[in-house]
Amino acid sequence: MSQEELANAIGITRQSVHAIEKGKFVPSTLLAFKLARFFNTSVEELFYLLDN
Amino acid sequence: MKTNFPTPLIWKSILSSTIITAILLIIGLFRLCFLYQIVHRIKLFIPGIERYGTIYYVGLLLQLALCISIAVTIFLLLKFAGNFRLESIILSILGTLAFCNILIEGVAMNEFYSEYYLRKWNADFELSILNMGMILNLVFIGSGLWMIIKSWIVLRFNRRRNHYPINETVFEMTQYIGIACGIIGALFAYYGYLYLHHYRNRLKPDYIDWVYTCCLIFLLPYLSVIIFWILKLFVKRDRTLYDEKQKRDLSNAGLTTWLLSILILAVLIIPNLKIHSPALGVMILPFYIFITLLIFSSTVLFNFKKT
Repeated sequence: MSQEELANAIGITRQSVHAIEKGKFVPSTLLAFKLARFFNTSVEELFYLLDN
Repeated sequence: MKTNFPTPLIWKSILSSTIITAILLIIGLFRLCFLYQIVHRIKLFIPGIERYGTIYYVGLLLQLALCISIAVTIFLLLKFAGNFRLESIILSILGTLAFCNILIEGVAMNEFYSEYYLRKWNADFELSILNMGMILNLVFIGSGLWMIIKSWIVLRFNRRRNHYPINETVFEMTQYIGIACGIIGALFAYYGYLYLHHYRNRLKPDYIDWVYTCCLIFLLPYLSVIIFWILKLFVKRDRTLYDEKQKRDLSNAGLTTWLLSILILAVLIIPNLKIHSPALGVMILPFYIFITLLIFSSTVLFNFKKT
């Protein structure tokens, strides 16, 4: 799946998908839930806190 | 996600729009040849140049029509015919410059004619502006023709293409247009200040009206895109134009612009506190508007692309 396909499905820009993937942008809880629902998984599976 | 290929009505709209643009681009090429001939004749003091005046001003109107036509074509192609992102961004920058150049070229030609041809004064500055304008228009027309040819290929072979959402491309285009308007406007405000300061003892209200009208014209391309966003906001049911990252980029850019604009104003005003020049009072507002537009658009674009 391409970034733009995901962006169109979630209703955000491709640039935002790219920034989330690179860890440069932290999405809101709502967007995190939308992404989790799209991938049919939980938010914890997609996003996690680094120890340091 | 693939684009839904245009319905027959939309297909006809795109085709008519590209045909009109192609015709105007070809007229634009002829106008450039005509302009080159006029400049050449003025340089050589060939008599009878006055009879081309009306044709020249009609040419400027056609140039305006070309800018509008290209803007409509870009919108239709982005919305319905797939990936024209790069062409749209390049043409939006060149189109903004070409639009502002209509006014600059008109003034430069008038000055070149009256100062060089009639009064036999030196007019190298006006000549260089006219030459730069011709190069800019040539690149603009070349890019426009490339976009038209590409769009005809896409329409002819009915290719379904991946595309960026129109929101993202127009958001990026808006910032490029803001940067182009900001640079032209700030330069104009700076040279306007020098001009008005030079004539400060015989400054007429007409000059000030003229300068402010020019500033408004230089803002028009940016204002037209802002109007597009506002109309889009009214059409959308959920009242959301931007996604989270775009909102964050806009907020960060707003803060940066606010802080930098205080610094710029301080640098501009403090050294001139003891200078009583009406030119400074007249030009400080346009300069401030254009420089904040330039900083804001550049920062939004930087944040959007790099973070």
